[in-house]
Amino acid sequence: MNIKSKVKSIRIPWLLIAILSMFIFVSLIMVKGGVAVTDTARITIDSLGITMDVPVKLADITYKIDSTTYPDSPSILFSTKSLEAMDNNGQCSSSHAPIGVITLTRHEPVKLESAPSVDNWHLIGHYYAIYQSPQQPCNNSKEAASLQMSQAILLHSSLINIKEKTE
Amino acid sequence: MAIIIGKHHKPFATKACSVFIFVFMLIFLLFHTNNTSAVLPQPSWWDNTVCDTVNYPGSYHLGGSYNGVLACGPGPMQGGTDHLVHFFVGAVGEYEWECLELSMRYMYLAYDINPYYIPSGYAKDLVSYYKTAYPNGFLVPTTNNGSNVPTPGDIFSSNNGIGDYYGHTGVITAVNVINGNGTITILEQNHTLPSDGTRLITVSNGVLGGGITSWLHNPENGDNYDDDVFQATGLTDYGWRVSMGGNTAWQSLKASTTTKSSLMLGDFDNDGYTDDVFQATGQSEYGWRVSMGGTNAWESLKASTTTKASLMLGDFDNDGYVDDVFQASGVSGIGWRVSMNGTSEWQTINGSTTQRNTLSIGDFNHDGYIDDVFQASGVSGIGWRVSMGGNTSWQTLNSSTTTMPTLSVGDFDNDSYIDDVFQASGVSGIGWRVSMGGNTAWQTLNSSTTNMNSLAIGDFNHDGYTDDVFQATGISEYGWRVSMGGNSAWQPLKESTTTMDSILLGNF
Repeated sequence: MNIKSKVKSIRIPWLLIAILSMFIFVSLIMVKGGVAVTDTARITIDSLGITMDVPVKLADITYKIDSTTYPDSPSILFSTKSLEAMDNNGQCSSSHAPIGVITLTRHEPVKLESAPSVDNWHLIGHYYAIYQSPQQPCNNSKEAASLQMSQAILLHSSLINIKEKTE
Repeated sequence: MAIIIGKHHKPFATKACSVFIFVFMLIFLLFHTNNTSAVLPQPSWWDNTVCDTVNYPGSYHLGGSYNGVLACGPGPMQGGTDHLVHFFVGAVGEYEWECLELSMRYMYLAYDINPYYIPSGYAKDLVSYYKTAYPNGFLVPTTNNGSNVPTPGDIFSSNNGIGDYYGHTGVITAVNVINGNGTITILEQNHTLPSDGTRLITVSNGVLGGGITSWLHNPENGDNYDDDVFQATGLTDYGWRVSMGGNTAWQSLKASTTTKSSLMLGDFDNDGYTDDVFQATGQSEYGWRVSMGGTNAWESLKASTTTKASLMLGDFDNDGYVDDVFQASGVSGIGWRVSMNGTSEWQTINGSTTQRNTLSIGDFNHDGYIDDVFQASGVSGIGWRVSMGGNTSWQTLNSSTTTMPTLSVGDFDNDSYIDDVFQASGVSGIGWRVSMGGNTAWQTLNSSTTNMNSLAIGDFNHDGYTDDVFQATGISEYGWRVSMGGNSAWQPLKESTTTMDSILLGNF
């Protein structure tokens, strides 16, 4: 009984320490925007008034803005120069959004006809940013597909790093 | 708690659990069997795993399936990461488990259509780019505008607007629409979780919801089965009527007093249904005419005084539709001729003087088109012969001397080609027999003594093969009955005393 009591008395501080550690870790992630500051590159899209910090592996990111399909909800179609360099059929350019598309809208995601899962949208001030991942390889080679998917994952992870641009 | 009761109750719990699982599986299998037509093979590239766990460890079956094709997960960005897959060496790659992968996999397994690049890369463009990838492809892009209803096995594209930039795609697995209203069921991947990969979509006034913009329709199918009984008694109080599947209430078609003797069924308007009534009265004031769906006004075809007695319908120009009129008048100097779509000028295809009453049309050379002329003259030394495409020299099949009045052509060996010769001599001791491919030894089917004049061949059990024998004796004690595969016990259909003389089978 004495031993059990001692074990219990030891467990409680460890549990508290673990919870505190996780809290600190999560807080750091929130503050740093999901990735270490030293490993990010900042993209500024003046026409939409936003910035987005992306991992340095996406520093060669390219994009195209589509404001015509849904005028009140512009979409940003993303690719990278490294992926475009592997292009052999024109489908890896940003106009095909091979690593994903982010749509900015005032419409509440959960009320949209095709509601995205909670992992795929993020609130930025008065806007929601909705991410969609690519659906088909833009190049038939394993190398290109591997690069495409790894970059799509990085872009998805950057969704929470979109912010309204401040002067 | 489980540990405390475990030692004493585990055997009972195990037994109870086993019984429950067994009963559950039994019920599931029975239910599943009743709702599934043909079970497609599992993808060879899955290496005998469920949802390709070798290529994509951690994959799982979402729960939904159609004809053996599984919806898999997890979806990308939903706990998973897309994995590249090639269905075969050199194939266009797809991502497991995107929605596109499911549609491409279904088309490959069900229709032998290789995956194709969608120039945009978006699922919403899968339908619109099909004809770009396959200009002569047999699937028909169909717009969701209220004038058409899809059928199970069709592949849709959808676009739900904002937040759905790439759109979505999937397979339509069930259609329950009456007078333009009802629901369809779809099979899909990578839709909002949680999901078993199936979803009900509402249909209102003929328009499908769910953002569906279009679908690829398989024109070989209406409901996929040639099992609708068309009755043309020529009597004004009945006219033309259809009983769907041979067991639903009659539905009236276009009023007409024309009898079966001058009618044939085909697909002239390319809607994928063998439900257009072709009338060839041979009278100059009428000539040849078509009523689309059996309900529309007559449309004139090529002027001709040739009667049905020397005509057959097939697909000679390889456009995928059974709408070409084949004439075998047997008159020297005319021979066999084809009018494509029933409207073009005659094209001579064979100089034979053989009459139509010894001919039938099927697909013996496996080119996918019903254009091979099968002759069963019954003359010793000639026997059965086939002219591929109707224009090659005769190739000898079985050495039988059986004549055409006791023969019919169908697909009994499930090789997807209409090349098996079915004999129903009605002679006791012989009964029904089939020669696969027309050149193998006879195989005995049902022991019936029913003659060919009260039989027809169709697909009533939805296994995708034209091998079910339909009997319409018109005798009240028998009525209409079906023998599945030609060798099962009779199953009664809708009660009727109508005889074969006024009946045709089609897909309405």
